[in-house]
Amino acid sequence: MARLKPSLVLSPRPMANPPLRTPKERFQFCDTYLQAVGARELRRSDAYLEYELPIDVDKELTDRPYFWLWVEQTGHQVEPTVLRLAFSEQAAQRENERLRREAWTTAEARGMSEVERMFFRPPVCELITLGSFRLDKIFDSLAKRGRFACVAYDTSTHGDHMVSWLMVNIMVSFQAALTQQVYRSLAIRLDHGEVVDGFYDFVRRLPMQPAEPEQLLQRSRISVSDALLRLDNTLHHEILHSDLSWAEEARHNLQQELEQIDLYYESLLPDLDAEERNLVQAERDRKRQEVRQRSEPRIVIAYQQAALMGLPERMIHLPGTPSHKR
Amino acid sequence: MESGWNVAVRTPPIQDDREQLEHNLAEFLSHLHETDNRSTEWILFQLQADAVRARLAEGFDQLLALEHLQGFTPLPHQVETAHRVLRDLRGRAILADEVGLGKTIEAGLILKEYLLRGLVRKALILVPASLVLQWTRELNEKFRIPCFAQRNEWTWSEHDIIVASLDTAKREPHRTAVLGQAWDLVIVDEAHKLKNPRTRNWQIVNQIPNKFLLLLTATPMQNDLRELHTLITLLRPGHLGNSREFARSFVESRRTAKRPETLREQVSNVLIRNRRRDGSTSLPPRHVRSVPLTLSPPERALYDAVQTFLRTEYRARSEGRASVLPLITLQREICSSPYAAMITMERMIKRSKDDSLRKTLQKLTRMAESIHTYTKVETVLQMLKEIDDKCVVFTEYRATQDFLLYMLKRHGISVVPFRGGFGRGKKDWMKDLFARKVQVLVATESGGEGINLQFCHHMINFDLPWNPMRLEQRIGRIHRLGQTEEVYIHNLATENTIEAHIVQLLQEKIRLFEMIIGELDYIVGDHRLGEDFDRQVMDIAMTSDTDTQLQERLNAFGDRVLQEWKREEDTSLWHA
Repeated sequence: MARLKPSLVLSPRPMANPPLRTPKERFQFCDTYLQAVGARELRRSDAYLEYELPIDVDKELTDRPYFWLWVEQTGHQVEPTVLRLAFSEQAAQRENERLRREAWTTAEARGMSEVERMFFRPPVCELITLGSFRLDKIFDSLAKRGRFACVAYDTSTHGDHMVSWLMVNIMVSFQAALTQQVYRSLAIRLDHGEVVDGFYDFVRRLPMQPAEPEQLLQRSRISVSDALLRLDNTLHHEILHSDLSWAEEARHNLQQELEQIDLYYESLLPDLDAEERNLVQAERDRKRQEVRQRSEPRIVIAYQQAALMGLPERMIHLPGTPSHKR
Repeated sequence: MESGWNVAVRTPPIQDDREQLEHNLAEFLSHLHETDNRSTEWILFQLQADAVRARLAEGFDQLLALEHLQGFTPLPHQVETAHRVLRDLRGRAILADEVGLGKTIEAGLILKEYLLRGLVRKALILVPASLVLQWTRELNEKFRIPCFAQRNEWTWSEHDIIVASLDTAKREPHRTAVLGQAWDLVIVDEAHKLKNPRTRNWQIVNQIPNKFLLLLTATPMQNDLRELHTLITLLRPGHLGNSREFARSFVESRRTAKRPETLREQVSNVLIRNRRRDGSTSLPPRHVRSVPLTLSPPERALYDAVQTFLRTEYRARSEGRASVLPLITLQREICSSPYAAMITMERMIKRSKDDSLRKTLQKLTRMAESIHTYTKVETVLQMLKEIDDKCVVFTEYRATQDFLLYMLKRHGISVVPFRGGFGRGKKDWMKDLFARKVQVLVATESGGEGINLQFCHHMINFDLPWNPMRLEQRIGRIHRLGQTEEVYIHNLATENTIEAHIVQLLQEKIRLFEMIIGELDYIVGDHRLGEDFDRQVMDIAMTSDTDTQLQERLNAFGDRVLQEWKREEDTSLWHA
């Protein structure tokens, strides 16, 4: 298997730069998302964005299913939601002051009663950080909207021989009492079955255009279904031959804990009558079960994304590693 | 684990959602021609790839939770504790930090980390009723964990993460609902309430299905080593053997261990305890001073008259083996305010059948009634003006509290009350008012538990509890983790009264207490510092003939308590 990166093994090797760790990246991310889903930009300033949401996006980003049910049943016209996103504390403070000022001026112009003044609530912006509610909602929305793609390299120079690939991005979780996850991107060349690792890092920056699946699958000799199966097999094979000492250690711990539980409950039994024994044994079984659920090692392969892609053949001659057939 | 070639047996089971993906992909491809706008397809794909990788739970060596916090940074010992619980203790632990070191933060970090790594979905947090809202709020705000305070029997299945009171959970119909669900993580705060395996508290916690379990208590053992065994049995049955084996191998006496080294090592696999003096945290200094004040002639006359009455009555009751408790109360109240004393005296009049006693008391009550200006209150008004900042005023008595509230308001000082009897909502409300708008909070002891006022830097002790533990708890309300400024504790000390001696005893000796009882919370339940302490001080006060003698005896008493503590410190499990 050709590798685009020196080695992407299953042992812990943290990503060099996990995404979205800086305010700038998050700004860029949200901005791109909102534009892509067709939200209307209302305002933009340093570390701050204001967008009006289309209805379908509104439903995905605001957590109010009953409201939408009511809207649909009654046929009400609703004001579109405006998202006010700040990406730094300073921006949040600055924009909140502005929002208050503006709202107050507008309200004053309209005329406010004493009570309205007391309960005056200007709109506020929200701070977007990892783990914030809105960013999580955007993630959820993307899990639906960004799961698949069918694209081809944007080439104006004709005559390049185009090759079709199927790429899958995967999250592999190694679970015991703790989880460790590894991100993998594998692709298979649909004409002669070459499998390449770390594929997404190679294509992520490329300009791509939407393509027709028929076009991409025209000259492929491997069906999508077979392609997926082969990628899956590759991954399974690799996992089976990876260092599984963590799982062994987890098993060892599990075994010890189970023995301890058995020993403990057995030591209680002699002092008990038949009925109490049943209860204690039931408790022991439950505790054994819980320990198993907690400590038994397992591996979960979760496919995150899949894309059918057309790329010029010459592009796959990768730095240092001549592509070779399996 | 045995043979080298049997690889298949050793491979952990692998789950795989390829079929699901295949199905969805086919659907996507077949509907493409109906999609009108495909120009953003690749952009959204790229964003999703970033989103997935942003949430990846990589190596065990880093806590993901740290990147998801907003507005506060956990202290190094808290991060280290969370780390150890996750990595070494495999999610089952007693978090036994001293009060004020942030057990809640540690538990929050652990919960958050499990949520982010997808190992916990359903979590149950059992806390005292008075702390349900505080926990809910803290988890939501600090950790952005979407949790809900339990309200009724339907809450249990409505939400994934629930904060509830242990007392509610153990009652039907809640009990069945709680036991009927598979919880991934259960957290029990104030877990010292689980020290007896025959109680319903212990039994329900033992029965709640859980994968991970955190028990939070500052006092994993108060009076007996066996309490520790009881707690550990909840976490890992058999870790220290059954109770008989434990007693045989480890218990020397109630509070000392056989083979403490071995025990400590065993315990460290399930228990983490951070202590102040380990330098796990450094608080800004506290300044304690006494504010001497002299009674006005009418107040003096009243005080002396009450003393005479108390001494006579004390001797009589001690001989007749009658209860001296009301006398202790009266003694302490007269130190607080004449107003507080009046109420007890009136009660004694009602209950008494002795005519001469009633007459004396009626005379004393009339004396108290005729006093309109309280030197202490005047002093506090003056002090508040000088402090010119937020301040907590503590008193032991409701009556004094009412009087203070009335007087402060009359002098145009903004003030709110705080006491144990308030409901949860009202407590939160009063605290918020104090934080945002009001200069003074007048609190009684019983209300002190569970409020954190680190935004405040001044405390006036209008009267003093007679034992160092309770004073320390009061001070702990403002002098705690999160306090960034120096704090000032002002103790009112009325000259030539027993109060002045108590202030001296607590203030001079308290520093020693502080040193020794870094283990403060550990001894909250210690009888020597409970009613016994009050009783002994009272006895010394009532039976000393001169002021000098009183002072000497109180000093000797303080030394004795300290020595006992030191001795215990040397043999105890936690200290070496």
